[in-house]
Amino acid sequence: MATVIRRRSWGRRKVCRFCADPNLVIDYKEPRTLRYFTTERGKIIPRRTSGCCAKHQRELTQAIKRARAIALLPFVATSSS
Amino acid sequence: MRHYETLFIISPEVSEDDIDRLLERYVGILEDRGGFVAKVDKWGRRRLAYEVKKFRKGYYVLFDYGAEPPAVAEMERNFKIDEKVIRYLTVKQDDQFDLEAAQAARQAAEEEAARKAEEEAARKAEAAAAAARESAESAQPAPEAAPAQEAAAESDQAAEQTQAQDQAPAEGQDQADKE
Repeated sequence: MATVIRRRSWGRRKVCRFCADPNLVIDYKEPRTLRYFTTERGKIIPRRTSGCCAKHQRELTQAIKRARAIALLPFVATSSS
Repeated sequence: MRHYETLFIISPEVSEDDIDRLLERYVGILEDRGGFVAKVDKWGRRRLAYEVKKFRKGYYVLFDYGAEPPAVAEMERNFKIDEKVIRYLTVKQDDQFDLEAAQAARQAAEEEAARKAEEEAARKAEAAAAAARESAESAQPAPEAAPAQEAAAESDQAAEQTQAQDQAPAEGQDQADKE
């Protein structure tokens, strides 16, 4: 029940962006797409906020972690950078 | 043979020539061990998201290739030893590598590059010829028949220039994105 109430208060159920647009691919080599799914501090945005489906969130997490390893995305970003 | 992809970062202090030599060496390591490098993609100097070995910038290169696991291990062993390579990441794309398709693709890409180079050379030669004609024109007054020809050459050149300008902002944008 709680979920129903919360959903109503948000107004709209979010849909997974990657399911909605098949042209949008998750690739660790594209930091610009991935950056959208991280906070300005560099943390990965959770599924409950991003609205991604489980499958795409898993791929996204993998891609972000790879991008971090090769210095395309920051592990921690400070407000200056 | 498996399909791999390796993205690695070369120290920003390495010169272009040295980078080419270094890439050749690593391609050699793979191909000596039965691998096939389908693509070498030089991303160029980019800003790193964080400091790696005290560098804030790095030269990214992407290898797309098919190889056996020992070949990859050997390349990574060399990456570890090589001080010019500051970071690397290998990702397995697939358990199978379509060698024939990759060979065909590389051949097509090479032909395309050769064709482009030829076109570029032809265009440069034409521009040089036009410039030479122009300087001859200014040095001494041309005979009656020349002006029409000159005008044609000039309009050609103007068209080329607008084309070049069309391309220039796109490239600038690209550069800015990389930064």
